[in-house]
Amino acid sequence: MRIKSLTMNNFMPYKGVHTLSFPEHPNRNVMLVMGDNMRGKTSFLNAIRWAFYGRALGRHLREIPTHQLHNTEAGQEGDWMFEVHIQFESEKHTYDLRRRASKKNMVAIPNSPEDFDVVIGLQKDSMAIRADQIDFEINKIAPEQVSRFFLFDGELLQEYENLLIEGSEQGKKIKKAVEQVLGVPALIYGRDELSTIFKKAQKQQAKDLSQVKGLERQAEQQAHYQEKQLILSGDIERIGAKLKETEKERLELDDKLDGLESIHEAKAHLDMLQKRQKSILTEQEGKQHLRLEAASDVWRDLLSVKLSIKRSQLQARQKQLAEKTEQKTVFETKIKQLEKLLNTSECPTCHQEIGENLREEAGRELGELQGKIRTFEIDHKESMEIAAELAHISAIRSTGAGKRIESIDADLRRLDVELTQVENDAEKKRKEIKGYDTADIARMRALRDTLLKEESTLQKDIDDTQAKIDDITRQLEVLAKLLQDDPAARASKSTAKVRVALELQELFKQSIERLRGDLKGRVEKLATEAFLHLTTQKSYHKLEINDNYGLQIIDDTSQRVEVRSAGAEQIVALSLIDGLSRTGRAAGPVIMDTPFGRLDLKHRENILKYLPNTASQFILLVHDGEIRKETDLEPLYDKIGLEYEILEVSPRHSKFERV
Amino acid sequence: MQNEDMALNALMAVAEEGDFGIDKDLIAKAYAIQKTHQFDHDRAISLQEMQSLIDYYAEQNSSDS
Repeated sequence: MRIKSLTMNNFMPYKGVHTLSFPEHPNRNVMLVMGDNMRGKTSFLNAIRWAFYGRALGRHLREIPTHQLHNTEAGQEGDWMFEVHIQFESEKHTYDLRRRASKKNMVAIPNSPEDFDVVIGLQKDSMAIRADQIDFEINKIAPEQVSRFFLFDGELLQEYENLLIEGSEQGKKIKKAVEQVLGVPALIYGRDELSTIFKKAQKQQAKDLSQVKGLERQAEQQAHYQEKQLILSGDIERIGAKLKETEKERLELDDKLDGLESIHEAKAHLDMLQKRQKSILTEQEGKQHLRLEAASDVWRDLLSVKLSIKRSQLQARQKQLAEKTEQKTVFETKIKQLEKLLNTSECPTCHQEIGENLREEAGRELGELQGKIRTFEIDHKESMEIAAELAHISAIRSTGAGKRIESIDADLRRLDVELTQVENDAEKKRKEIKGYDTADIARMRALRDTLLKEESTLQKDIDDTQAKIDDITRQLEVLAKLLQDDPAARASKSTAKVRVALELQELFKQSIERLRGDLKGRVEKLATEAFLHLTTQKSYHKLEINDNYGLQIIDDTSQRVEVRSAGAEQIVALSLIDGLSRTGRAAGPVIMDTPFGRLDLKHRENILKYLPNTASQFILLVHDGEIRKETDLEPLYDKIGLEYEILEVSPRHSKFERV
Repeated sequence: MQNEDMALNALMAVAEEGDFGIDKDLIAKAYAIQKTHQFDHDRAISLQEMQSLIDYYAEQNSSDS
């Protein structure tokens, strides 16, 4: 398949008519569309998706309602029609596809999808295709289920990276989508329809056999199982509808909350700041209390200098008095010795008689000492007073209150600064959330969490009920096989129908697993082929697919590479998408929106060299920040057939310019 | 789609390996119906065609036995 041209009229930001030709030369099959963010690259992708499949996808792959696909400015000018027209060729046939939406006559200003009439027309080799055959014809050329692999953006790449995380919830959902895409639906639908036919035939069989003598009990048993199966199927349908409704409600909340995430974060931050503000105030109060306590001891610090001088003076006087007392004692002892010497005239040491001269000298000395000692007056009262005063001063010691107050004051200053900062930050956060009902955001978050839990409970109920149905189905199959061996039962036409339907159903069932295995092998082979072209790591040998359709890198020593860089994850995801795309359809165009995200130059170069070779046309939608046109696109220069730039006319109006 | 033949091949291979007494013609016809309608959202036509096919083969089967 090759797209020849695309014309958009009032589609999203493309006000008025915009026609783009697509590259037709097989060797120059690359089309480059450059555009800044918010200019309309994804809308370009959506124009193709809407023309082919009647749906455009927004964030999280959610469908954009029809009325939001219309250009706002055109609406303001009273032009309420929008259209996408694609000319393409496939297997030597030319096609002309046109999807148009027009405001219904009775609607003044459309504000819901129902306010538009949508019509689609497809011509094959200039012959109109019947309306009821259009989807069938399109699906033959480019099946919608496979479209996610050839019309894709960075978000899809991210999704596929999640697929590589074993057991992730998103991975499970993608696995289901992948299986749908890989042609398994033909067999799955076959199995399910044969199961319906089998049940119907068995019901008829039960009715027929209830009339045959000897088989009434089996017929009754069969009818009993069928009734039980019917009730359980009704239960599944009911729970399934409830699950769908819950999922829808939760996804809507997710979308709303996505836009309010920053508000929620600001509110959480504000709560934290307010908590800190409160704790600072408490801390300040505590410090003030400690400061007051310390202040009551400050007078001790103030008196300490004076008291210290007084203490020194008293101690000096005390010392003087002590020395005087000591001196008196020495004199008294000497007087006693001299008196004894004069009385005995004998030396107290050698006990020899002393001469008259020495006696006279001793008498003189004694007289002098007796004179001196008369002047020694020891004031014992003063000594006692000094001792008491010193004891009193010692009791009035400094408690270091001043230093403590200094430290508390420093803490208080620090807390003051922090409090001001916290109050300023809180004010900023208050401004951020002003006008938003944060209580409602909290409510939505809580509701979203409850819905998630409910989804998981409902899914479990479905699984449990399905297990019961499977058990009954097995019982019915056993019963059907038993009846096939019964000659009386075999004679009935309904038994023949049961047999054919059951066997064919079993064959389809078993073949699904076989096909899955075969397809996995093919995807693994094609993804490996892509990967070896795209990776820059020479030691990587191949990719290995797992049950979840995730891929593991195997190195040249046959070991799994457990730690992969973000770039390697993206390359593996891209390889998987390429493998799935080539498994799911014949060669066709690949349109990639902003795919380079985290990739380095060499990987980008590899992608640009490889992907144009695997697609009939390679349309690359990129912005300046993602790719440097002058250098990064060098490997593509000789392959670029056409190049466009999306330019802004106004915030709601973009246009294409051919470069 | 490239894998359509893979699907038919899988059916034929499983039929051959297993103990299925099903006519290959029936398998091919049933698969052809599913192949034609594999992308239909409304399954009514496909179910109707499958029903007619089974009726036809069951009729033949019961008249043979």
